[in-house]
Amino acid sequence: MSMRVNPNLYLDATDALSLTQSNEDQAMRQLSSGRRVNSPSDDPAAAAENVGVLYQMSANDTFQQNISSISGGLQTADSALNSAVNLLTQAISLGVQGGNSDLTDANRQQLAQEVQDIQSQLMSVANTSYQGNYLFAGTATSTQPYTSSPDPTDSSNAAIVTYNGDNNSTQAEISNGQFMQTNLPGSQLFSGTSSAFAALKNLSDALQSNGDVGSAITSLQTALQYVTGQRTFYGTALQQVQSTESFLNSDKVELSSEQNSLIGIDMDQAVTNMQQAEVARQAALAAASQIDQNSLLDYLK
Amino acid sequence: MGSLSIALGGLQADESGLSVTSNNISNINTKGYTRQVVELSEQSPLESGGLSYGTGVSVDKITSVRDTILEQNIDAATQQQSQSQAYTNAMTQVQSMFNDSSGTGLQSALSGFYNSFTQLATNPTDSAERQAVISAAQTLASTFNQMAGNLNNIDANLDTQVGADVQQINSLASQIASLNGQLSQAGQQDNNTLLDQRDQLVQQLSGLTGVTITNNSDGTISVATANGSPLVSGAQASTLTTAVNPANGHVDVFAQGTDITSALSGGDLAGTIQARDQGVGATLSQLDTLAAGIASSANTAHEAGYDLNGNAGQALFTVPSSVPGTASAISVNITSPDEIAASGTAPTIGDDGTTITASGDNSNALAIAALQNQDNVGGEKAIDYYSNLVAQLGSSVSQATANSTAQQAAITQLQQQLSSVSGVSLDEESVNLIQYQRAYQASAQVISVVNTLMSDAINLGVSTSA
Repeated sequence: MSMRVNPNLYLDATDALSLTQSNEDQAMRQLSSGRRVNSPSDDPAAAAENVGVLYQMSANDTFQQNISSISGGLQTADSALNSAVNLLTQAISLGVQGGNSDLTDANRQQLAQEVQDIQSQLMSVANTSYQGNYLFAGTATSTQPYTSSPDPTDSSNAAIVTYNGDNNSTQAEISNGQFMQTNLPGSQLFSGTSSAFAALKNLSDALQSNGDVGSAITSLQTALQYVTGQRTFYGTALQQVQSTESFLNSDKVELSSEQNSLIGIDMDQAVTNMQQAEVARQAALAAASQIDQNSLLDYLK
Repeated sequence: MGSLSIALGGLQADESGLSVTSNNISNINTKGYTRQVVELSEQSPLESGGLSYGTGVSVDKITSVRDTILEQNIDAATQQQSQSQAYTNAMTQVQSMFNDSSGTGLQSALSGFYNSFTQLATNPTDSAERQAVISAAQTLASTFNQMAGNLNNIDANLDTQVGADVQQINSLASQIASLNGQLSQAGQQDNNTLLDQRDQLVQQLSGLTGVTITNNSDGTISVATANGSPLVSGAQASTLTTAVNPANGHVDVFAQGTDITSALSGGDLAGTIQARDQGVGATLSQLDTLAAGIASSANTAHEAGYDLNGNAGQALFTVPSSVPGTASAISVNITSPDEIAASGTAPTIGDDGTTITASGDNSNALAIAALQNQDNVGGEKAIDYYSNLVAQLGSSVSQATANSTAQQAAITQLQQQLSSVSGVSLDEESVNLIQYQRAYQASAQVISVVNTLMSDAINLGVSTSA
């Protein structure tokens, strides 16, 4: 006698139906979400790596926002220094005029007054603020960096300008682990060594008292060179943020393509899977519908 | 007249054959029904005049066609499958909380927290940026709180499940014990139904917990849990009890006063306990470690800085003194944006005697942002610790799912095998039906013939009836 077979074919059929249904569900879930990994258990390693990719993506976004907010400050500072250079150049030419021996006292007084005007204009340039922060106060950004007071020895002399900021600079992180200096304190630009304010006062005072205008001009030229030299810091910084920004943009593209290869689906593959699952399910359904339509009883009439 | 009684015996045998066939057909869709067969044998012959006359058929017994080995294999596979299934069900809920690619999880709160400091560094005096730091810290803390809360809820549901499983196990054990009692009293003839019922109960019990079954000579079975605690012996059932463990608030399982919680294996009960004590418990404790590592490093760094008013920084987060429970209790200590210590420079006194606050100093904000690249959580960076947690969680669910699927396939396979032994086949029963019907008709014919012969003999050859 041949081996007895399982007479209850519904057992096979329900099993096949539930298997094909779960395959179809999975294919459908992948297609509709566009993702191969829909929960950590689908591919634990890829899900965990994706956490790292997401983390880098949000850091990348932050760096891009940082760059746009730093850029504004750098540009403002750069154009402030441009004005400073113009003002100093203007003062030098006033000094050269003042060196002319044909001038009367009144002419020199007039020139001294113009130099004093330049001094107060330079002061407002040095007090430039961006989004409520003084750009040239070092890290004391809420303290107005430059204030003036009358010269106690002679009130008709140019005012004495004092620096109230500190000598520190700030750093910003513009990409992962990449830090850049974002400011120069005023003490490295207008006061301190090669002080532009001191040179302007010297020139004004020399014009007023018919003193040594020539050496005042020399110190002003030194100050101009110094400010021009320091200005390159801002130019370089602006270039740096621009190149970092384009790096961040390409990194962003790379990260999202990495994410796609980690958890995304291959569309062709997913569609094929779906079709296969559908065919398998239809076959299982057709087979189930054929079960037990006949038994011996049908033939014993 | 032997022929008449032989034919009567035949009718009775065919009738019982028909009755068994009818019972098989009626129970074709009954779960757990084992097909029955009639066992017939020849009656002992009569010796007469040197000849041996057969005396007909006798019905020996009605047996059910069962395969105990297959049944036990199904029980064993059911125990493993139910355990994996229970574990998978619970941990699938857990892993759905850690699905960062679908918008849940901790990654976004974690990066938001550190990024808020990176951003504050570009504009350390801005009160909107400072407020953003507080919001990001609050989001991080509340994400930890929510996750811990959800895990505690799942944990509480699993505790309820442990209690429900134990109750059901006790009820099944007492039903098995009572069937044992009936089986030890029943004769050999009519125990098939009781055996079917008992097999069904054992299979249900296997879904709940791992058991070992011993067949006794009196027809009873002894049932013990996987670790050997007796559940049923003879007609006697022993109950498992539950009690809340004061150390961790979990429901523990006891057999005769001994805590067998961690010794259990197999079935929904062990899977539930495994998910509760290992799955959910481990996840919660990793979350605590993560929260504590982030909070303590951030607090230390924040306290080293100076706020917008030049005051030394306070603790950023309020956390419990010990690590367990940190995730559910962590909160933000700082309320005012001014109190964020972005500056790393203490205030100085200027030439004119006024205090100069380095409010634009961002070095401490940068230092706090840089904590994300330091190994502050269990010897790892916070984000690496977290992504490992996700990987572990995913692997454990994926393993348990694979195991459950494999066991389910094994069960299906075994059930098909068992059905090929014990299942009712309509074709087979139809053949039996015809066979017994024809035999019955033939035996009846014999009686009719004998009847004719006898009347012929009594009426001396004159036929009296048709």
